[in-house]
Amino acid sequence: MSAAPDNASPLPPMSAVGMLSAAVLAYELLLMRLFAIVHWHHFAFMMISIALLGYGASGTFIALLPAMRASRLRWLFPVGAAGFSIACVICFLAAQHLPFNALEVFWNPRQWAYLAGIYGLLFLPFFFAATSIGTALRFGGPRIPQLYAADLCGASVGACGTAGLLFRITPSTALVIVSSIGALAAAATALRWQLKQRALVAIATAGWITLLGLGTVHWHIPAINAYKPLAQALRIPGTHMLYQRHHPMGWLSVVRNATIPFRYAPGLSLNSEAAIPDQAAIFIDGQAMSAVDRYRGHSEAIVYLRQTTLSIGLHLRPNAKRILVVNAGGGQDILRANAYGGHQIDAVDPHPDYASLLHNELADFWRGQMPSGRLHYHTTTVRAFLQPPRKPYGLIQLPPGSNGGSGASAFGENTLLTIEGLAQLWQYLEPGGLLVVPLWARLPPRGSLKAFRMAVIMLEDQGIVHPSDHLAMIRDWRTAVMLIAKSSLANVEQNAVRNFCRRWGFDLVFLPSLRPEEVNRHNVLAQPFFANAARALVGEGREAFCQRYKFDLRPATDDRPFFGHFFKWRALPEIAALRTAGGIALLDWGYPVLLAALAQAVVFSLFFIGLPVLKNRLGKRESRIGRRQDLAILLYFSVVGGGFLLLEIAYMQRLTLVLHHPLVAATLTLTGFLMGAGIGSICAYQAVAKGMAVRRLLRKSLMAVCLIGMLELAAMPWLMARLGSMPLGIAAAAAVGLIMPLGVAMGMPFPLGLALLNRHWMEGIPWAWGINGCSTVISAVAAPLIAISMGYTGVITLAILLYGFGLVLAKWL
Amino acid sequence: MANAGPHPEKSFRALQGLAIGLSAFWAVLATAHVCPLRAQDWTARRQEMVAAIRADVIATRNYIGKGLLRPDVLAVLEQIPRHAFVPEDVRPAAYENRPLPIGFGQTISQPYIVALMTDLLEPAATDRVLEVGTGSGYQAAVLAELVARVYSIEIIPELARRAKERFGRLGYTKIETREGDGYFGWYDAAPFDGIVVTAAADHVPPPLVRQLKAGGRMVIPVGQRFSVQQLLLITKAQNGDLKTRQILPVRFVPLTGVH
Repeated sequence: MSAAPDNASPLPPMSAVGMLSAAVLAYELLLMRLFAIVHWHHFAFMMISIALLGYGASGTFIALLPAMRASRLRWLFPVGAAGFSIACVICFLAAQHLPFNALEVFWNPRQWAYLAGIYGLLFLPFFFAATSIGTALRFGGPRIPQLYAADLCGASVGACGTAGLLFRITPSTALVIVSSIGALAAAATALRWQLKQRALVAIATAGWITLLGLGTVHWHIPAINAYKPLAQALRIPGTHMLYQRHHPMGWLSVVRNATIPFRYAPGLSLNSEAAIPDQAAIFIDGQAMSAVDRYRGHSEAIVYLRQTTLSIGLHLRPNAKRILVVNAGGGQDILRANAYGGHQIDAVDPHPDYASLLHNELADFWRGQMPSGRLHYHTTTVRAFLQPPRKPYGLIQLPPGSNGGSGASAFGENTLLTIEGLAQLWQYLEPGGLLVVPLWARLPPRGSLKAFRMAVIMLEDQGIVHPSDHLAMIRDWRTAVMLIAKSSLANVEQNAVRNFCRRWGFDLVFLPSLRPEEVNRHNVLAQPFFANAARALVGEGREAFCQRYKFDLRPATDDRPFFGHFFKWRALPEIAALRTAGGIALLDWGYPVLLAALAQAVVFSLFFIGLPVLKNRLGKRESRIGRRQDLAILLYFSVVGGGFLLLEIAYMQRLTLVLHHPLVAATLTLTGFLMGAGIGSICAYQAVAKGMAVRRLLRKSLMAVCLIGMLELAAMPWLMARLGSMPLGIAAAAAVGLIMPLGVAMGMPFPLGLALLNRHWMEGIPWAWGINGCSTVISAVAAPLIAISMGYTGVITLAILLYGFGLVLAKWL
Repeated sequence: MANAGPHPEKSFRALQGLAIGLSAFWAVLATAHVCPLRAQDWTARRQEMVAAIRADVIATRNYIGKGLLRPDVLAVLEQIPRHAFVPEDVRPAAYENRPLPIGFGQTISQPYIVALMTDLLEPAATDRVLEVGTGSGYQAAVLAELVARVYSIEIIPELARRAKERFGRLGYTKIETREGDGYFGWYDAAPFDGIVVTAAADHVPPPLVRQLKAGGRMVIPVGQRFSVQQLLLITKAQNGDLKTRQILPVRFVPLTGVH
């Protein structure tokens, strides 16, 4: 129990374990950030998920190691930590040199080899770090809970620290810091022992950190995929980067071309004669472009903004006194509102750099032309903005493409386009007010139809007897814009929509009084897909229609906030068969990529978990129960690892709705759960040291997880409704209050399980460590898949069931 | 504890096996990266490519409005050495019915899409056609065999230079090229009977619409570089009225049970 080290002990200092865990968690978060910049976020998610199986492989590796004296194994920790330190930088740089192109995977088999290469490279740092920690646990004996506590607390600091670091420095520099922490963990362990080579260790560590520091001078921007919009823009002669800033919410870059302007004007009429002014383009993570127009106060310069589908709301409500522009970005919608003479404009955007840019670096574009007091730009999410009571708006304008463009965002959560989100916006409309929802019009239609269906359901929920009287939708070839009116649309308003469409060559999709002959006239489709579907969605047979439709049109809710999910298994064979005849564009990638990641994770996990069993390397137990015990151990550590991650992910999403800011929610949840679990592990260590029976404590902790989980699940709707409207500080404190008790209980089952193994089957510890690692990866990938089908309530329920199953299994450990 | 462990020699062999496995994996990866495939008989492969296009067209006939493309368009595709328009490393795949990367973040379109776009333009021997986005030059070469003159603009200087060299080398004298911004079209050569814009922006450039002759046709593929979502066909009537047709280049009915 004493922490005093000796020269023969294989155990590293707790501080080194904490440092290494902090570094490895920070590395994981940084990779997510860096790969979201380099590639697309769904492939980034898949790459890193598979790489995290390094944790599972480490258990296998330790189990397969030849037997040797514990004193010799002490080297594994510093060697692993040093390996992590070197690999986390080198492997990332090497992975960047593999020419993987996600867009080409369905055409070119070579891309799969590149992807596998990236897996292999990213796998190594996790493998090294996990081998270090796994070895420490293997020889931890009674100090296992203490070691696990150090691991969790370190990870908690890593989660919190990374979010903080990314406000100040680039992810590349942060990676260098992470590598340095790994090197320091290795050095701290090696230097602690009475070695002759202490000086050498110190010099090598200092040398490596210096080398890393020098490397950062030439290493700032990751090389982004050549097909990302920013890379394409930068290829055009004359384009230069005006400004860039890394932020945990995304890498924001501003580019401009004085000779060849960007001319970003989604929904612009084919009949438009208006010129588009000089623009700066803003990209987030090299994509999601928005534009900042140069406006000198001459209204003719922005006339083009009145000639787009997106102007339909303002065309109907030109005299709206109060206008809310949601996710305003560079401010095109603000200028549009200004062009119509909006009296007071509230603009909100959660990314703080937009407001800062418009006030500072891009101040000469248009900000200075806005009369003081007319525009209020708020850095927050719209749902947070609307929590305190505010005066209602005459018009609320959502950003173009609220639904995302590519379908890659199937598991990207969107809390704006949910039934509850739309309801909140609709409630803030004054009588006669309009909510304008612009969407990308993909073919065959999906996002626009899902939004339309959600609007119908939302209006019914609000007690509207005839929802169709409150709805209108128009389209061109690129955009579909839905109007949700607070009051029924009068005939004169419907005719104004007709005239607007006639003047600018747009098509009517839905109006309460729309006649069949009025549709599909300007942008002609083989069939009036949009109009027919919209009519079906307000009719009696809408459920049957959705059943028959080949894309998933189930409404997104706060519990299932996946607006971008359209994938149906039924359509896959047909899409695959039409691959060369234009079928690829029909596939929404997010869901299949997630499934592919899950399948890979399961296959690799089975390999890693099965290998020591097949090789008969798990040794003999002093009190062997038999195969049933093997199975119980496998299942126990699987359910405990899986349950932990499922709860963590589900709470992260739930708290986003309360705290309104994904970054705050993610940091608070990760830090809270890991810190709580660390405290739980220390408590377990102390309780066992005081003589409490391990198995009894383990059962109690599992029961506590189930009970607290069930209580919180039952109270969740009530809590969410109340916390959501509270100030951030109080909501955050309450969130910590929710997380901590659960976290403390969740921190016990794993180390106590290991402590039980340590008594009669020490060789099983690395195996259990590997199982835990594999199950956390599988559950991290499975969580969004489960949530897409069953919602996050389903994810929490499943996690509680897993812990309950762990309780059943505990007797066989 | 030592007794419970495996034999060191066996463990060594296991680790040796792991090392060999990893080496083999990296060797396969390296081979896939550096070794080009053997060159094939280009003429035969061109015929196979056109056969694949014919099959895809038949499969999508209900959506593109015809079961066969114009024979002269397919004949041209059967003649033009597509492999001469792609970089060396993707040359073995030049006649596969798929888009290929040509460097600089650009692609050469899938032959099926090139054929559809060309057919939709309804090219005539006397036509003057504008292409915005030369890229590799393949689309311009196809058009040059069917019309009187092709004007092609490319914004990326390296691609523009290479395409110009390629046209000279392959004897495409009917193609005139220019490096620069295609948004304002080619004012001196306007109006055009047909315009091809090789990648859609968020809107159709109004200057291009103005440079389209009465009765002219403009075709734009919409979607990502490796997956065309729809083809946009803009026609200008004799009275100047514009009409857009959105063509889904795939036989896909969004509703089950309805055909």
